[in-house]
Amino acid sequence: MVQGKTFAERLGRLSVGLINTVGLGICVLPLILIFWLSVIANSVLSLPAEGYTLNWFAEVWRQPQFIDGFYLSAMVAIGATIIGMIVTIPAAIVLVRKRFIGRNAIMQMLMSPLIVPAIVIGASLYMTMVELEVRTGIPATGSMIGFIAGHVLLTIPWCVRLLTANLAGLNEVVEEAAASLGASPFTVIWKVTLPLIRPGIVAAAIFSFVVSFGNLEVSMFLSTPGQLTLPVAILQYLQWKIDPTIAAASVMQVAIIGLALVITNRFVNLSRMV
Amino acid sequence: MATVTIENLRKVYGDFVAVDDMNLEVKDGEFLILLGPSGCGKTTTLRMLAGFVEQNTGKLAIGDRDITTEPPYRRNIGLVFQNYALFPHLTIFENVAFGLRRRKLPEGEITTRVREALELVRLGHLEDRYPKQMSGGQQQRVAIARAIAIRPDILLLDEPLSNLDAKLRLQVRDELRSLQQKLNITTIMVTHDQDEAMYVGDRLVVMQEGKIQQIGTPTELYNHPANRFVASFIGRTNFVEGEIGAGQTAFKAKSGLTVATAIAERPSSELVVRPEMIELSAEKTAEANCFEAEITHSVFLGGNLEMVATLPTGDAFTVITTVKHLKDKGLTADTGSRLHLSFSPESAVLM
Repeated sequence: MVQGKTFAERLGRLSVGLINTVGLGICVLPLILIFWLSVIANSVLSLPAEGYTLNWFAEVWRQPQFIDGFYLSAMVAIGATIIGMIVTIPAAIVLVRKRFIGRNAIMQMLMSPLIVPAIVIGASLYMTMVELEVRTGIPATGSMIGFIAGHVLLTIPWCVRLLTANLAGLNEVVEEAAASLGASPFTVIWKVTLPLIRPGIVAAAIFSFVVSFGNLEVSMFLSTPGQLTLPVAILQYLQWKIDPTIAAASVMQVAIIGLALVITNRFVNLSRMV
Repeated sequence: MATVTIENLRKVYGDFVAVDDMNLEVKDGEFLILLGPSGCGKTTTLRMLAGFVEQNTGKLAIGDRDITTEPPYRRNIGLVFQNYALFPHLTIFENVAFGLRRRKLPEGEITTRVREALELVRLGHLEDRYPKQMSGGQQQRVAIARAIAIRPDILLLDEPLSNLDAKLRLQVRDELRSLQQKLNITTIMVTHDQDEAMYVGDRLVVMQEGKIQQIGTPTELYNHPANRFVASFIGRTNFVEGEIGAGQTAFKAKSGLTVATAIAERPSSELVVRPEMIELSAEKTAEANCFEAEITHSVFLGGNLEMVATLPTGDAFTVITTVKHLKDKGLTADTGSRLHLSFSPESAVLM
């Protein structure tokens, strides 16, 4: 029985519960479906299931584009995360601690990759890189540097938002105390500021990794034959064959991202960060 | 140990003059208090001494060392903040060791000095804890230990007691005073609490609107306030407006009341009588100032009674006396009682 004194109260509680259940269901259903489809025995992605098998996971390992794609995605995500942090930590410190003309403009610029559709970013990056290749002869598209540069752009707004939120909550007086005890500005940042915003740094790093690892739109433009990230490899495979292999590949990708989030949650309370 | 010299110090924020050409000499080993209401410039002065706020003009020196342009981390000043400002990610030991590590002392020396500092604030047994695991009073004592461990030339305290509850405040206040005397370290403390200031301070600097109103010992400020602001900020006060010429001893109040005073050195238009200096009696006394009055208001404060005695001329005097004193004299001071109040000419201080 639903708790509540009056009918209106009970109706209220009931509808909130109902909306929660439906919402959660909509979020979780595709995940469950993917897991299910990855173990059905049908040779085409279809229902009802004709039986169950784990063969599709073995099939993923037999497809070199998935293995290579996984490897490339991981490398790009790690690279983009590291470079993204190197760029955004100093930026966040300056944005929070200093007041200067153009501060808001810079903040907006750093947040803009969230507003511009990823496909537009991908297309413009592609055109820029092709132009760069033509002018300098250095291969940019399909190169690790090209991928990482593009993905760093996507991670910046997440990192800046998480880090500035964390820094704003840090009392500046603690930094003043460190300075009065003889710590130079660099030592203050290294010994006090950075350790205190560690939750923000861990969260930002993990979000960068997830955003980069799962990105399709930007990677699609930067990929060249033989240099495909996992999401692009899955898309290409789908274009000529629809079998549960892609479901298995997706399950593996979801598992990696899920693992990353679980690990992060051990360091910081994610529900409080985002 | 060191003296502190502040010369023509000035700080302006836009149109607002936070500190207005301030000059101050702090003696070696002195406990000096910067006292005033919020916005009077006391905290800005302290932050300029610490190096966190850059002055517009003026000179700052510790002993012979000019620190005017030194960055905070080279000033060798111990700082204690209102909200403790301990490093939450470090143990108590490492908090106190922080400044010593910046000075690159050998490990053995660091351990000795950290233990020494923590012993001084009686927290030696808690060195492995984290700040979060301690009470506010303990945290503030750690902050004091951290500040003195670096053996600073001077100690600056920014409202160090105002985040503590009333009982703890008295305890930490006592400790602060005895520690300062034991170490004989030149100390400047900012506070808005006059009781606190009078209790710990050797000298008090009363500030208002960026200017020093008066510098003196608590006794000097209480007995001879330089102006109406100081008189009202330090202790309770009765003001009487009127006039007196130089060389005279009779102050003519606007209400028609005549108050006998000590000889006026210069013409004055205001006098101050402290509520504690007023004596109550049933009969008329021989004192030069003795007036019949009616108690129009009476508040019982435990050991003390605070009353308002109104004269036929309309002048109202606040009187503070102990309950015992009244009882000994067989007086009751309920609202409506008629008594005599008297005070000596020396107690009527001309502004």
